[in-house]
Amino acid sequence: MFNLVVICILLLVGLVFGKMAEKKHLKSIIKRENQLNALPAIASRYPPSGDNVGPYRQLLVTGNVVIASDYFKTFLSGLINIFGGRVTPFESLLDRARREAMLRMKASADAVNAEFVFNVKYQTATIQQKGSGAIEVLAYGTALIPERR
Amino acid sequence: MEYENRQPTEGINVTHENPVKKLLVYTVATVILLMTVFFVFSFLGGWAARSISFSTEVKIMESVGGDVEKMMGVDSSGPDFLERKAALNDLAVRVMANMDIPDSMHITVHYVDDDVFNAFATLGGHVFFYRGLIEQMPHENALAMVMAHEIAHEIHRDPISGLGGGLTAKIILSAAFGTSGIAGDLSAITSAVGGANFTRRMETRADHTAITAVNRLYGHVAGADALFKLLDKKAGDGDEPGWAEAFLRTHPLNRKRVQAIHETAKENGWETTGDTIELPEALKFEPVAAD
Repeated sequence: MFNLVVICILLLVGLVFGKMAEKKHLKSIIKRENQLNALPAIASRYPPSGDNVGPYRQLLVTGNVVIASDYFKTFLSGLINIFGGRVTPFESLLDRARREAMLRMKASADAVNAEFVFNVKYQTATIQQKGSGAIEVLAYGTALIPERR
Repeated sequence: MEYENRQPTEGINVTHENPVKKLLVYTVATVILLMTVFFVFSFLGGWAARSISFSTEVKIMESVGGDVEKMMGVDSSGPDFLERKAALNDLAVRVMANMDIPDSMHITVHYVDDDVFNAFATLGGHVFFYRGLIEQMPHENALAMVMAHEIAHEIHRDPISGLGGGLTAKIILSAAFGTSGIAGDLSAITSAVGGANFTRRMETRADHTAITAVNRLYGHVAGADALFKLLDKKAGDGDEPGWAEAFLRTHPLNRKRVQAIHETAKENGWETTGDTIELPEALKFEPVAAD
């Protein structure tokens, strides 16, 4: 019985605080995405070419974030694991993680006055904890910084 | 080459749904699944354990602990220990004469000189009575009911089937869902709730067998409900327990047990009034303050 009460309290805490944190984070992500929108980050393996392009210096830029799940999401995903299906509680978590990593990468590119980031890739690593989990998302790419002619 | 940067469109990568609703649906489904697994394997395990012969059960008990009284920590040095044990056995013989005990089964009654308010039946036909329980019995009829109830557990092979069923279900649940994490927590709760439900049914069946024996012994069932009335009084101020407590209890509600005794008596046309018999001298104790 005591176990059950503890689980219910943790679920409520996870749901309320998780929701609050998510809302706040998403708001900040959208605001920063708008600010950095002028800097293109593209997945193409080839740098831009053309007569009036470059010359550029190339620099590796990275952005990474570690984000933890809340008890509610972990609990619900544990139950979904039994039956299978889309683990929807983690969708918003991972969406925020990827966008935050991309933003941080763009911020590093912006800091060195880059004009483009190309060959952008994502990498993830899970940080396993007992009964809970956190994930790292790393975004990296090659920043093109205009050279003075 | 032209490059265009667009803001990601919201809502493509994230499914919008009510998480609480999803949690409820999955919790209910999981509980149904766990309960089904628990009951199927409790039943199978209990059934398999019951097929172990009584003589094998006795051998298992001997190989585990040797002397049962020593294993249970019975102190035989107390005053009048032997007289009390003999009086208990004397009552047991009379009770058992009115029960259908299989020929292969041998029941051994033990007296425990301890304040604990309890009596229980365990593997190998051993039934234990604590002083704490006997000294609160108002008359022999009440004690005979408790004794018949514990012996009924042995006749039904409840100790071994409870152990076999409980163990099987727990092993299967922990193997399938693990012991840690969410599913582990839920399966532990299922084991507790399911186990309680399982023993409740055993208790009800033992009550029924016991009341039949008491009627045969005394010709009426007066006073047989004394223990449950006593337990009910001990439990509280007569409040109805909440649904959660009723669900988690290992024993049926005392009031329901009293009711069941009266209903069984009525159905069978048994007398519910009659003279109760005093406890034998060896089982009388100094009056104790009710707690």
